[in-house]
Amino acid sequence: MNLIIKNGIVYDPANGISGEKMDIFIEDGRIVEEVKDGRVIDASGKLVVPGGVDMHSHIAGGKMNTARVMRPDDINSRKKVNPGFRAESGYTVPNSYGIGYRYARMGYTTVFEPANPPLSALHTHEELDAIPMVDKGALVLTGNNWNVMNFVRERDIEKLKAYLSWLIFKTKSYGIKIVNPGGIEAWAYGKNMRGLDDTVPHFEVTPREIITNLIRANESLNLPHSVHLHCNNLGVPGNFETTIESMKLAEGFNNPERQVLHVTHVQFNAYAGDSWKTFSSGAGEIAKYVNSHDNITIDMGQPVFGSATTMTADAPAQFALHKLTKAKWGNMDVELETGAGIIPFYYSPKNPVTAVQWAIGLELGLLVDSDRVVLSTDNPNGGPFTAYPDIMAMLMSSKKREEELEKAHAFVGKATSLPSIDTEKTLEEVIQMTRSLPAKILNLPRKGHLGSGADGDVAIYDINPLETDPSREHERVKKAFSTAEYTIKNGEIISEKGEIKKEVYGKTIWVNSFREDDWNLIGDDVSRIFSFYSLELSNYGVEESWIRNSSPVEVA
Amino acid sequence: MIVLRLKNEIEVPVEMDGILPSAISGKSREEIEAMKIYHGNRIVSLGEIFHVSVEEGDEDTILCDGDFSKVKWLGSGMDGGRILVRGNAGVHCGARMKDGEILIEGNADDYLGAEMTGGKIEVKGNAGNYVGSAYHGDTKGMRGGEIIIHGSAGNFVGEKMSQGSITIKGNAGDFVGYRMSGGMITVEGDAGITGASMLGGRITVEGDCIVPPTFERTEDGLTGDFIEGGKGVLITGT
Repeated sequence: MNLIIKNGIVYDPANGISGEKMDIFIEDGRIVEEVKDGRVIDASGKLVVPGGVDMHSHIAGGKMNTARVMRPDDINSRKKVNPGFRAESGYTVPNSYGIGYRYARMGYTTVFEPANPPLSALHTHEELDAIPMVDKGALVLTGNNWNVMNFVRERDIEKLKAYLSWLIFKTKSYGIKIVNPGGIEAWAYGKNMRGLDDTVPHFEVTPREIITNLIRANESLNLPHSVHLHCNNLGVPGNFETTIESMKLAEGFNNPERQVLHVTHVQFNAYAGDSWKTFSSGAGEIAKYVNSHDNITIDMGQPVFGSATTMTADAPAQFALHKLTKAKWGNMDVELETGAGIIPFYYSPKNPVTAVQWAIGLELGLLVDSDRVVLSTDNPNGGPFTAYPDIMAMLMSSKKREEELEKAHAFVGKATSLPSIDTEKTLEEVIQMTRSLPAKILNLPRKGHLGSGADGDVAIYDINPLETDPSREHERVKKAFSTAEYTIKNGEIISEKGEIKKEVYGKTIWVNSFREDDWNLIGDDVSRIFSFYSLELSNYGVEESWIRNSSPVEVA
Repeated sequence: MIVLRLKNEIEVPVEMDGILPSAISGKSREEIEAMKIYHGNRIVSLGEIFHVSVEEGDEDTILCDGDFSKVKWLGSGMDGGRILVRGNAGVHCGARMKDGEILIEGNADDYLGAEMTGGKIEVKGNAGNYVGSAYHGDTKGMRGGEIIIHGSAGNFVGEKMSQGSITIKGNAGDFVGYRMSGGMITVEGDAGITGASMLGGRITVEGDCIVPPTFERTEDGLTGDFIEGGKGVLITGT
């Protein structure tokens, strides 16, 4: 069926359209130049933008279910019955249906899970398959993998490339994620990596070597997405220096299409000072570096005041957090590949540390250029993704930030520059940070824009951008972005004014990187390592036919 | 006074959250009968399950006459008034109540007064497990108010409680005051394992009980649980 969105006020930063009154046409699920007839949506006086793209949101995988088990309080805190559809429960760790419905209500249509442990890839895909409404994908964890570290030590880039392409294919992932390179392996011995030149026990490699070689392999394989890095020393005062040093590892690599390194949830890695007492913001330094280097992109990892569930493969960092807060702690070991830690958390405006974390996230969002920083909460680490509209409003309104700052601990004024920042992102910039930029960073040519050939994923919000001043009317902006008037997925209306209209199951996008020759190169090495696994090689990985709507991307 | 009597014996439990003295005061019998409750997974009106009558007495009182052991969430979230149960009460009775009074002449089931913040509950018979406790995953149990049980109670009395008082005139089961951080529990009879992982507050057991080895004897009595760095006080009769 065709769809015509008439007279909307369109923002499409990727195609240079900023507040133009125009019509959007969708035919067979894709955006086209024009269609003769079809269902018409009158969008006059309303904002029309591409469907949202969340490039970093924990929505599937083993740790998500463990968090649900650990947090019956969270599951019980929100319940919603959707007549004719599935029920929702939970706040920071909702059930799978809740995740899909809430993204759809907010006008988001694409979500990527950034931590897929190879050994539990099947679980990740089973969960992604259970999430309705959105297109999705996953990034495979590689930074502490025994094979990767072996090939890095042996300086065998060809084997490393072959292994990565096999691993991505085997786990049906979209790209490479690194979490605390070397640190999670060291955690098996009760240690961590404290700098880029620490040595991983028994592997004699350093985080510096792991990151550099994975970037080299990633670029050489010509994978669509760049290396996606969660830096060492997460959550440690003074860690901004490690973050900038890690960013410098991308110098010398270049890709005309995109960045060569995406550093994620940078707020957690942008701390200055040397203890929680002298804790302050390192966001300014990081912003300066990112703004002057076009091969780096970041996302915010913005904390939201209220309840959160921290979940990350960075198990040693989570143990440190558990020691700090004494909250309940879940730890997972993923054999020869990675680990995970889960802890419920509460960001309080009254607590000096969490208030400063909140301010650092905003500093990054405001100080870094809008073509380099993506809006994220590292859902649910900084808070649930449902807080995005609130963050959008804060980025666009210094008045709203002032109101929030009044509630926050006075330490924010000493430890960060947030009170003196009067930058206000424009609506176009915020649309870029939530749509076109994440799509460009992930290298999804059919997402995040409304040009001909793009997927027919459109969000229509009940706000007239030409007659609204986001700085003053931030409440209205937040309200409008919280509940899309219409969310359109592949030309079908899936949500209208917060009500689910149609349940659809999106594609799972992965990269078909494997070539037969690869296995000849690494078969012996990988088979040898498999003698230490609890699983047979023949039972490892995910078959394409097991995925509900498989959508492989071929590598050029 | 509103009197509720079961029309027929019920097999599938009904859920009475929302049927509170403050919610019914000023309503006519017909309006009360039309109020909605869950019966299993069906939504029914109160009048389908109960015979409702208005009798002489205080306006803000609900009298539940008969065996209400299949009636869940009685008086949960209550913010004033009185509920009298002339018989047994079902699970979650008085859970999260803020104010008011519940008197149960028979026995109470599990989760009596769980996470309550104020008000008073008195049970003439016995109570089940989790009296004044936290719900799973929550960090705090009872946060205020008073519970008096004339009979005995099951396991996990006052689990994670932080304020208020619980008195058991009979015996209590295992894990009395598990992870409690404040408030007071008195057991006039015997108890099982008592005070484990206690962080603060005071437990008195007049009869016998099992004290974990992680308590120290000081001039206040037994203090602990030191494995948690706790500063609770445990007074035992023996």
